Amino acid sequence: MQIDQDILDALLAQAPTPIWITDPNRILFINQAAIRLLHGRGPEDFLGRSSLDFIDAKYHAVVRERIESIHHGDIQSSPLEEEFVALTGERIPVLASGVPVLLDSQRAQQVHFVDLRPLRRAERKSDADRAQLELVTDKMPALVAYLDTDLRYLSANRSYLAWTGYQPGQLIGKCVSEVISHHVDAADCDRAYNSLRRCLKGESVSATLHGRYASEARIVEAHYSPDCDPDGTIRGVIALLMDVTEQHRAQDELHFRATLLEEALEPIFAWKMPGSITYWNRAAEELYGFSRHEALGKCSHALLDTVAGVSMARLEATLQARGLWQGQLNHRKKSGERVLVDSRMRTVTVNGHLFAIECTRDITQRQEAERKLRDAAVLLEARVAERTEALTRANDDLEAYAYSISHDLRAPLRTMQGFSDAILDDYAGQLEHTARHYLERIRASAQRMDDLINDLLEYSRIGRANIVLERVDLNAVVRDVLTQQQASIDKSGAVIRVNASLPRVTAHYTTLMQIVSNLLANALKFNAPGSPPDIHIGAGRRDQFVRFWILDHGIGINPEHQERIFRVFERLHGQETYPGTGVGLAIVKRAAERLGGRVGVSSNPQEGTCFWVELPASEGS
Amino acid sequence: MSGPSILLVEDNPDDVLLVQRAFRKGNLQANLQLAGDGEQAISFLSDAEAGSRPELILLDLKLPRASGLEVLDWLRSRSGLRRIPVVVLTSSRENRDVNSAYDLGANSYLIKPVQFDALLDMLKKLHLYWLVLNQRPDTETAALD
Repeated sequence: MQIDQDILDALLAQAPTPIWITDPNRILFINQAAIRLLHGRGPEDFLGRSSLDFIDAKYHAVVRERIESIHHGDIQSSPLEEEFVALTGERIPVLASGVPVLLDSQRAQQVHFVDLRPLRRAERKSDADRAQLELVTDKMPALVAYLDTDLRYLSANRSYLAWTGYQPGQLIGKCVSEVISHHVDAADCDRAYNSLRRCLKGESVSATLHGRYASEARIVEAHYSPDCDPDGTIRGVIALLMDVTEQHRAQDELHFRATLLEEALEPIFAWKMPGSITYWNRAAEELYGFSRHEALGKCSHALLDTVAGVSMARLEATLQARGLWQGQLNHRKKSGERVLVDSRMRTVTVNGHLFAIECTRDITQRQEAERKLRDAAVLLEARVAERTEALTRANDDLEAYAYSISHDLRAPLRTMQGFSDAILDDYAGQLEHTARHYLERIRASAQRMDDLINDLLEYSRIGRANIVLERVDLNAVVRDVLTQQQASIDKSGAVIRVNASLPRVTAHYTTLMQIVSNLLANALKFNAPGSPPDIHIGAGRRDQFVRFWILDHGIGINPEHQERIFRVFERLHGQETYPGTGVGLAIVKRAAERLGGRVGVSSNPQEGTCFWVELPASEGS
Repeated sequence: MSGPSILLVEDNPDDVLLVQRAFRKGNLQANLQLAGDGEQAISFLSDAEAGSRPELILLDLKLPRASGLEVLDWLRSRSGLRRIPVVVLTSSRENRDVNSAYDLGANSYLIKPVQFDALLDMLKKLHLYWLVLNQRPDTETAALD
């Protein structure tokens, strides 16, 4: 069939596809569609110009090559992507495919163009959608990956990549088995593979996997879902993993705390104010006998028949106002037995509701023990009082006894003395020498007995006397004693030296005088016959004490006797050589002890004796 | 007996004899009156006319019926009698007795010596001090209640 050339030209000119015909140098023909595409006004804008004038420079080399090959008769060449430069300067992507033609017997090529802009727009839209999707999956707090049916990664979001430690490009195409073994514990890897295999059979599977991330132990919850075609063929697996480490830790912590409460030895329970019990620990079950099942939901005050020292309304009001109530409560066990408890309640708000937490402690036994202790204390006090009374009575008896001795025993002595004396005096002329001697002996015995009684009474008095300690000047004490004994000093012809300024001591004046007086009397008495006593008195500080001493150059004391001499009635000499009662040093010892001091002696026979008394020093002495 | 009047309150007849002997031996001028217990002493003093009241009382403490301290307490509450000097003459060295006696208004407190010579010496000094040297209070005008 022969088609008219004009019709063909018209067809070409009006075709909706942009077309031009060129020889290697010039555009020979351009249709309307091509003119519109390039924003020309008419064919005159193009005809005679090089086709390269309307093609972006970066395509010139490849276009020239193509023009050349077509010119030499290539009809098999594939379409070429290039970019037009429109008259407005706009770049327009096109797909060009050319064929060789003869125009007026000249070799030329007819080139068809397809405007690629709609395609590009669609592509851009698709890219944007993909980017948006990636953004969403990347921002998800979950790890997302898509696996094909060979369990190879087709995609993974950023979290997933971070979890596996791969760079974006490296993970795709890798099999799941070579990836997760590095960050999932061996035991859980198998579970993951099993889950994935089940998933490939169309099942949605979840598994908890323990693993590591950044060398820290983590726990993930993995959900594997099959991705199916509309016809049900499985194309791949969507893996969604959630890091649940913190939830697990929080749960562990909660479990730990719950265990703590459960293991407490004392009842702990809670109720939602104003009424129902929401928690009831094991110790509460044990003390009250109500199981958790029986207690939960009940009102605690009703369940335990709470009795407080105050009204329940008052207790609740205090608890509400202060958030705390402490005190003793009386509760009833399931058995009906009542139990006394120390209770502490505290309020706490949870999810907008006010709860009370109550801890109690069974103090029934403690109360009982305290009561017994009180009873025992009362009994003990009674016994002590009884003993004290008995002792006081005994003391009173002793005093009465001493008083009686003092008064009654001495009266007969005076009679013996007085009347012996009267006989000796008034009937002197009628008495023989022996009779006089006998009467003298009676008189001397009476005197000696009086001395004994006096010393014993003094010894007893020192032990019982009410002694008030005060600051005492030793100088004054020594001076007073010397004055008191002036007569016997003169009689003995003693030489007495007293050191200057003796220190002050803490003592009782008259008691201290008694000590010094007895020691001085001893020093005057125990002296070799014929030589006058040589006595030296002094005192010095020894730490917190003052040591007062009286040194004589008398007959001395054997070392083996030096301890005995401080006992009552201990005497080393016969009555004829050195008369005495044997009580004087015992009085000194007892008196020194009553003053918080002590007494001692150092002596060598024939050389002399040094008696010393240590008394607490007075401050400032 | 002539001289100032002294009331000796003493239950022990031996002691009475010894005191009387000492006055005799010491040649002490005094009219020594006797009371053998506390009640007798109170009765004697209650009955005494204003002019015949003793100028000195020698008072033992341990007495039957009423003790020396009771006598002293009673005496010091009686106008007309309360100024009479009282010398306690006793065997007791107990602080309790000494302090009580002074608290109740005793003028002196002496322990009876065992040796007669010492007793004689004591009574001589006592006589000299209380009956010769001492300025007597005016008991005549004290009104009886």
